[in-house]
Amino acid sequence: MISDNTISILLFVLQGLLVIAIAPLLSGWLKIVTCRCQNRSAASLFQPYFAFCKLLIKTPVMAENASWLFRFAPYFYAACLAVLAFVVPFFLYYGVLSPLFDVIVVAGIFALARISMALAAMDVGTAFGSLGARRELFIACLVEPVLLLVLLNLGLITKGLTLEHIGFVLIHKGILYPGLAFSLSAFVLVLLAENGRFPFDNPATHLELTMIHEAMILEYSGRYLALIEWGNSLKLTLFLLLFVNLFFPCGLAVQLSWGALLTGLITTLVKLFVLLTLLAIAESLQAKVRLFRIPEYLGLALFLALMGILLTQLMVTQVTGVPI
Amino acid sequence: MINDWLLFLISIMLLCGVLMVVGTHITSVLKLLVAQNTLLAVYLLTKAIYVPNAALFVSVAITVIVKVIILPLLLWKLARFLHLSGRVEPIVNKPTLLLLTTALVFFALILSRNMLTFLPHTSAAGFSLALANAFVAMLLVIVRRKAVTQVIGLLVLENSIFILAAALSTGFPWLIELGMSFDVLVGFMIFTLFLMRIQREYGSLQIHNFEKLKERV
Repeated sequence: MISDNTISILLFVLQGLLVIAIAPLLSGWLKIVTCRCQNRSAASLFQPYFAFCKLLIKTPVMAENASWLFRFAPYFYAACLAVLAFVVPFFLYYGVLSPLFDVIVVAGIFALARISMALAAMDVGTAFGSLGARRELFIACLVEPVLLLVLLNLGLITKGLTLEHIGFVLIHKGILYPGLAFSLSAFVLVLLAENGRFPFDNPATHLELTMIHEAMILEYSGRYLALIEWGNSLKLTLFLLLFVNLFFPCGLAVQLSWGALLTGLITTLVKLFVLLTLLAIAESLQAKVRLFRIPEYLGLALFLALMGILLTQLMVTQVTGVPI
Repeated sequence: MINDWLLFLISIMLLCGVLMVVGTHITSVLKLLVAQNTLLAVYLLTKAIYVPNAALFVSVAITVIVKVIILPLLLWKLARFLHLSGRVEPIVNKPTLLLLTTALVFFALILSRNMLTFLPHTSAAGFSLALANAFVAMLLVIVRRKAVTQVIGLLVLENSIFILAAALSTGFPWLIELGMSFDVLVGFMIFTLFLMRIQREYGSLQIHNFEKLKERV
């Protein structure tokens, strides 16, 4: 276990700040690989940072009937996700706040971030805003049970609900649990749906028939839009980190030595970039589904998560040692 | 550790089976079948490495040759020949199908929990997963109207019986194994001839056309 002293706390804070800092870098990489897959020439890896700076110096334009909620929501959205950046494991096997937050709170903060955006989108009263908000909540009500079931399945396997405990047990006992395969495939669908990635939403379009997330933030500009964009890439990063570090936790630093920390950082970065490349390839290979076929996919995710829990709970625990 | 790995492999096979039940395209179902066969081969290989046994190595060889190489090729050719690239809708809608699958998995797990007294305790977990896979395969046989998925369902059923045997003991004697795999091949060929004949006679593979094959009294 990691001892409590100033250096370790500093390291933990540094880990959270690093997660926030590299989030746009990961979106940049995703865009580059997607462009390469589709035979287009790509922008620079640091393009999201440049876009952020450009948006910061622009004057934000407000809708006439925007209330305080509209102005307040981007800060709230980014703050919620920034808090979670201090919870998820990055190179250490847990974040500084994760002993305080169990997985239900994590799912709840994701929901809070989303609801703030949906409320802000409805606030100005444009047609697109409320359309996007309704679609977002439609997907959210299908995704959240699956996310909770997946995280609870991890909790059931490791007999503890904080990310710290789950990470610790999975690192020491291995990840080869039968229920985990089902949870993993459900989590992939959740990751895609939560971040508005391909079969569910196309993040690069402003076509009115299909857009979901883009419709909600259509009225924002200037520094508000910058915060939201940063928040979006942070959300993707958080889900990717949860994915790689809960289901493939090998290499994470368990004690504070420079070797372990460096190994943790490098393995996590490699895992993230490999996963993003796979995501980009998968996105290039498939088409977006119609809005009314989304419940089919998320229903599949729900039942996979449910089967994962069934396998965890009902399978006969076996005596280890002799091959079956 | 090795036990966990073997169980994990069976659970991924079960996952493939579940995805096959809900898959809409024949080609994607075929890909999943190939994945399941490959997983079966990996399972047998792992077991053969950890429990060195001539019979197991023979069955690994048979599985790889028949199920990973020959059968997928034949199935692919069959699918191309019969123009099976479109969607094949199941009889009931997707949510009902998923609910049925979950219920079957639940039933298999409960059943094998209650059979703990007859089973050697070490093999009970593998047994329960393989049983669930067999139930899912039976669902796969009955759930679609096109005749090809029936063949695929039978192949999955054969896979799960194989896993059942491998989980309970160290597998069949190799002679029986050889017989079984030839059985699968010959059964597949008969089915293929049958399907081609049906295709030529009726121009479709819908199950309800099979009714006309009955002799009128």
